[in-house]
Amino acid sequence: MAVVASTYFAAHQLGYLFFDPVAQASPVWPATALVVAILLLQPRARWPEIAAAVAAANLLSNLRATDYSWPVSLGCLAANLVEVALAVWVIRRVGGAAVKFDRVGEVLALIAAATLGTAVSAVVGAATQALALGAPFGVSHRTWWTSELLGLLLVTPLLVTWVRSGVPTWQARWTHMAEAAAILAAWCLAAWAIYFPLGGETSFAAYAYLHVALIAWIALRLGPRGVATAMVILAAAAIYGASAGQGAPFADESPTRRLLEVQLYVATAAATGLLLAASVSETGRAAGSLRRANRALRTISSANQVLVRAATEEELLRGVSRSLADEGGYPLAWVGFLENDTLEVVEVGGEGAPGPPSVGRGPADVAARTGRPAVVHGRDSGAEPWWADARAHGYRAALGLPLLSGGRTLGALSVFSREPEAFDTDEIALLGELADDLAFGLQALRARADGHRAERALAASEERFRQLAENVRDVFWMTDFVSGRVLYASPAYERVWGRTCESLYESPESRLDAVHAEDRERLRAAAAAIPASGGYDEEYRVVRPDGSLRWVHDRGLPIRDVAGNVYRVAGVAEDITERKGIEESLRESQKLEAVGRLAGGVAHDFNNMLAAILMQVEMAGTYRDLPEDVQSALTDIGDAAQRASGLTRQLMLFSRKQVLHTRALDLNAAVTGLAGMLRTLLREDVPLHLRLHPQPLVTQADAAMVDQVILNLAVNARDAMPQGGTLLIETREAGSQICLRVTDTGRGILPEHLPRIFEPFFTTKGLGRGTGLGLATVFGIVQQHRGTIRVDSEVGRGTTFEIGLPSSASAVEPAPPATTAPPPVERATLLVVEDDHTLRRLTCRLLERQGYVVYPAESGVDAMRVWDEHGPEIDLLLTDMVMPDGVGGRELAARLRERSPALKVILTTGYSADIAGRELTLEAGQSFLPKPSPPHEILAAVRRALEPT
Amino acid sequence: MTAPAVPFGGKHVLFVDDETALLVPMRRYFERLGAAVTVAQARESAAALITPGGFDLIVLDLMLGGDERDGIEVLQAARERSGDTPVIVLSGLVTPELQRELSDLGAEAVLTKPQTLQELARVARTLMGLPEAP
Repeated sequence: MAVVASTYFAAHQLGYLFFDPVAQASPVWPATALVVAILLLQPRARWPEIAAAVAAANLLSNLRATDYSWPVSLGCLAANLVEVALAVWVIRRVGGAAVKFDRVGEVLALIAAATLGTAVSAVVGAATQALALGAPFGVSHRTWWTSELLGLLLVTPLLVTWVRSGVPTWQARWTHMAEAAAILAAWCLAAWAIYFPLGGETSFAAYAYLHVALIAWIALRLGPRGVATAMVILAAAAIYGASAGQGAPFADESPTRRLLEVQLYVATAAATGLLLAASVSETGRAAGSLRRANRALRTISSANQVLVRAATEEELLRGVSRSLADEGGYPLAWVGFLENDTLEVVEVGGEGAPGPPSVGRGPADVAARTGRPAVVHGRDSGAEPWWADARAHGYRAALGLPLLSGGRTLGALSVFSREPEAFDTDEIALLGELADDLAFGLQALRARADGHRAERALAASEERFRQLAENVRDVFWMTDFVSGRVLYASPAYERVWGRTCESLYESPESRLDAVHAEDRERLRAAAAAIPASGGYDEEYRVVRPDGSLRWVHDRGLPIRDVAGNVYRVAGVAEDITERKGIEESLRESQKLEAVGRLAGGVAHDFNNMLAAILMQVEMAGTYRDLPEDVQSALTDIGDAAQRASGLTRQLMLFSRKQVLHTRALDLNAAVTGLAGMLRTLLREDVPLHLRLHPQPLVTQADAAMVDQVILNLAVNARDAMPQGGTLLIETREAGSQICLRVTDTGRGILPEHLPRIFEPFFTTKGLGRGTGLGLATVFGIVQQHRGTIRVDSEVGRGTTFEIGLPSSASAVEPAPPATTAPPPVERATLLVVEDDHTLRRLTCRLLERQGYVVYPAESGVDAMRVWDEHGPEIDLLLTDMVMPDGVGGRELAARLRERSPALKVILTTGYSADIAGRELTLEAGQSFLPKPSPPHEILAAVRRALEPT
Repeated sequence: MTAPAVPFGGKHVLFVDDETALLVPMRRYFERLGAAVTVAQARESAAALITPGGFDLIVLDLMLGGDERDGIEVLQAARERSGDTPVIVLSGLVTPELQRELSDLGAEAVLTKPQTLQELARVARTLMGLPEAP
């Protein structure tokens, strides 16, 4: 304020320098115009203090000039205040707060204020002078009026245009500056030549019109500022020239009159120049506006093409930014998305790309938050960092446009311009359209992307379901509950049911028709009861087109509609045929075990009865004089009881677990070892074929039991072929098992017999032909070896038994070759004790053929007798463990070894049961040989026993 | 030389068997040969009868009431209380294991059922040290 006050005071005093004593007024008066300019440039809020400062300075200056004449000073102050108020009111009314005198209206308002306003205020001033100082009113009023008029026309535009236009526009274009400098130089030269008399005859006073041409030039090229500047120079030169009064254009006698002429001349020129300049710049602005509108339209057109073509959001943003830069010529444009209430810059285009993000913000932020366009112009001042930054980059205007979509603000489009005048209403509207298009494009692309995502998710979901349905072995299915129509069945249906899914879709009844007749009604009832039961869980049989059966475990669950009514049924069906088979065979083997136990228990009591019968028969036989037919009847009864007792013994043996003497043995060797014996066993019309695996098939097994299995199966096969046929014995490897297959071409087994063939006493051979224990024994042995049995039989075609035994990795334990035995190591003498007559004779003959000296004995007592005679020669005792006379093999061995401790002992028995689950323990020099043993094993055992230890 | 008309004269034999049908012929046969016969049909009654020197021979059915262990307990009782008395064990099925166990427990003879009375008498004579029958 001090500056304002002192400047005003200085201007005031400057005016007094030209004080005209006659008029009691100064023809040069810049002070009032200065105040008007300051008030136009300053916001309304500051006016009171400015007015106060000016008033104080005015009063002080007037008092000082009038020798402290209060009436005069106050009158002058009042006149000045009225003048200022009128001028500012008129100009602001027309030109608004941003008045720049570049519009015709503003200039006209200025002229009006300068002419009419000052005329009014001059009345107050002149009246004051006339009343207080006695000055002539007419002269005083005229002087006051013209000086104030000229001041307003010159000083106010000069200050306002310079402050408002700023300096950098000239700095930006040096050609413009050079032109301005040239014009002003010409202007000054002309002023100097015209108004500064050179003396002598040379005078250019007649050329004052030159300035008229120059004013036109200045007005057209340099605008209001140029005119204002030039006019101040002209006024200074002209007033000086008029004051000097020699050779100047205005050469009137009276200096006051000369001054008046000059003032009118300058005022007219200034008004003309200012009007011309305002008119030109107004036209130029209109052209600029049109140009910008055109530019915006081109931008929209280009951006719309991008909009149509862009496939992705990135493409769209990049394309629109490029359109703004290339077509629109905007130096910087960027798009920001509103994320978490913050505007994130996502795409920057134009020369600023990638511009400093701080350039961002500003109007774009406002637009994003308010949803309305926001603009900042070059003439707007502002201290925000973004604007200082923008100005430093040369930007003079910024526009923020909201990107609105469906009532939601996606973000904002921010456009910058170097032109302070950019972004007028039309341009904002056009660019607003662009922003709307951009928002629409973004929305469309996002919707499309969402659609694609949904499509992809749906496809992925379908793919997952397809893989699930196609790869899971269970059948997924879904039916319409009311119509029974099958809506879906997974491909596993074809595998389990043996029918195509299409056939199921075509005829839904085929689903139930395929179910085994015995299970069909149950399944139908369970399916119908679903609404009440809430689902079913059934096992049933399915008959495939080829007649084979599959067991199916099927679960059905209801799907209800919103009303709770069942309208669909979904389910899973699993093929449980294998499980059923396993369950079946487990039940079978449990049954067999139970039967075995039962048979064993019965056998014991049965045997007791037989023993009692035999004793009674014996007792009865001791009576003398019995009729002969009674005698023979008793004998027959005894024989029958004996036979029955033999049977019960087998049964007791079967029902007990036999002791396993396992070793690693080759199944091939076992078969070939038995082949000779089998051939004698088979009839001539049943040739034996062997098909053996090329490699040894090793298993951990009891050799005697394996022989038993082969023997029993072979005998069975033979009996199945009363009319002759072929017996094939095969060995092969199957996974972790080694297999023995015995195939005959006989009658086959009736399907109804198949489940019972392993039961003890089940026989089809007819009374007295078989015991029914052959296959039961096979079953027991295979079970003890943790093996498996499979039977394939077809009536009239034959039967195949396949025994699987766990294969073993260990090497076969050395067993002597089956056919040829090497000669004895040394001559030896053997004592063979065996109660069975036939077996004893056979064994003795076998050993004698090998060169041994053999003494037979039929019992322990008998053996003692033999020992008494031949004791010293005997090297080895081969004895049955159980013998009829009460002296068992073990006891016999103990007694004989007391006499000859070096005696070797082989114990043999057929009753290889292990009652307490203990293994057979043998003393040194004793060994065990199961009975019956094949000849080569007997020889091998003898040879091993005789080897020196 | 002729054998005495009653070869088992004065000898006292205990038959242990749960089967009456078997006890009847055995008892009659041995009594006919002059022996005094006592019978028992269960483990408890048999064990109660055995006293030191009470019997000259015990004929024991191993399976009493379906359990071999019962017969074995009677055998053990006989060995404890009357160590000198020979025991003949009868069993429907004699396995090597059983044979060994019974020998270990001191059974003089193990016979398989059925057995003829003649054979039973022969073994009994041998064990009691009586002369052979003609």
